[in-house]
Amino acid sequence: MSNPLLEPVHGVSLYDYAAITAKLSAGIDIIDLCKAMGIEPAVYEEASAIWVSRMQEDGTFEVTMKFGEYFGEAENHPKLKNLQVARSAEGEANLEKLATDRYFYEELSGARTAAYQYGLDGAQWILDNFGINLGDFQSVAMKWMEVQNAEMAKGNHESTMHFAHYQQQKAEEYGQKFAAAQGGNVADDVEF
Amino acid sequence: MNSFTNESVATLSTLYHEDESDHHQGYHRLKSAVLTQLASIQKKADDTLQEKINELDDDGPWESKASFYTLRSNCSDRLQQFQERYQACQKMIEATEQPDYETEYQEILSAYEAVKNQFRCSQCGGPIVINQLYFTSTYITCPACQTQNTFNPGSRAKQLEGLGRSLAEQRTAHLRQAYEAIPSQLQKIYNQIHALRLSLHQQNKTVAADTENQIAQLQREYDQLNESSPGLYEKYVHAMFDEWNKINPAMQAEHDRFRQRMIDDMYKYK
Repeated sequence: MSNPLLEPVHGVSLYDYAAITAKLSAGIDIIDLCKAMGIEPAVYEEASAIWVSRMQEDGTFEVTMKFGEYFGEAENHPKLKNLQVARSAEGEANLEKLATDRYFYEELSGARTAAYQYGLDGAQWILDNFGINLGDFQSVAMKWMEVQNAEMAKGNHESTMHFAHYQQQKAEEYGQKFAAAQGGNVADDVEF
Repeated sequence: MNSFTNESVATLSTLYHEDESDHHQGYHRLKSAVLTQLASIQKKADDTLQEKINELDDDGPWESKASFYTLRSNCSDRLQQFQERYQACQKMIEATEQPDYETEYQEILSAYEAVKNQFRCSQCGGPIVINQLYFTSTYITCPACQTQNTFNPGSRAKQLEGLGRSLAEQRTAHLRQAYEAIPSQLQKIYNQIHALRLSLHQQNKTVAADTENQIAQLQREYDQLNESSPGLYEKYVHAMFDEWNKINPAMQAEHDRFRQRMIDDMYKYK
């Protein structure tokens, strides 16, 4: 490991830390995660604080990039992969679709943005309507981010622009739905 | 837009202080909704100018082409004024977020004091003196029976590292503002120099010489100010990190490496 900032902290590797973070955001309790990892919560707390500080001090962003990559691979972590939150059958199907259908992922990303813009808790809205929790959503988002980075590296900017435009279009569509549900926008009553 | 902003400011200001959710989530959701509504008014103004004015043909029923272009120019000016009012409203909405980090910090210290004073050895029950600030759970050996205990500083103390940076930034905001004001000050001097240069070819030699002196003086001010920028940034960064270290000394080594990274980045991307 050439970058010393990537060395484990008290035995907690960056992959461990990223996977724990992903599972925490999916709603799994920290005590259960520490048990599965075989570490005390006190060890995790200090390791967590130090991993955050390493990301801050790393001017190359390698730690942050790796964290994102590992966050998306939490489901493969040897000690944590069996820790799962309960998902509905519909949630499972939607999660599968989210991971394989980029249009569906961009649509839900746009919807989530629009929900926040209209004062809703976007993550909760996705959970309520599609059965996908924040941690699962973010794990899939990291994978699509890698796909996009690979496209950009190959100079395939058209695809990236295409999906960015699609997400924007969906954000506007959902924005209109949220606005309608709230009785319209303030601007509806303004005439110039 | 003004009445919507004023009503929203009152509601948001109250909500910010009353919202006890983590990180004022309820407040932030409402603020996001308010900003979206403000943006919808601005967008309608933009669309109206585009549809009703910019798409008009100058061959239309106008007294003259000049009157058409005057109308269009006036409408653009009006939109510009509206845009400025919109930005002022945005700032008023943003200003409703008034975190009181000093009070939060004092509350954390009080809560920590209570937790540490009640800490007893799990084996022998003897009191264990905690003489430093821990913001994560920590192993502490009982001085009487040598049992290893886990000291949990409590949920409030665990927020110390994050809050510490915000508080340090708040305490040193005047230094950051001094640094951030430099680009606009440079622009102002540049504009003065530019105006003087433009006036040069309308002046006789005597007046022009005087103007050249003024330009040279302004250029010196510009250069000095420009050269002071890195120093002001370093002054802010050092002051901010020194404060952060005082608030959470447990992370001093990590803070200092972060401090160095910020300074290195400034010279790298300058």
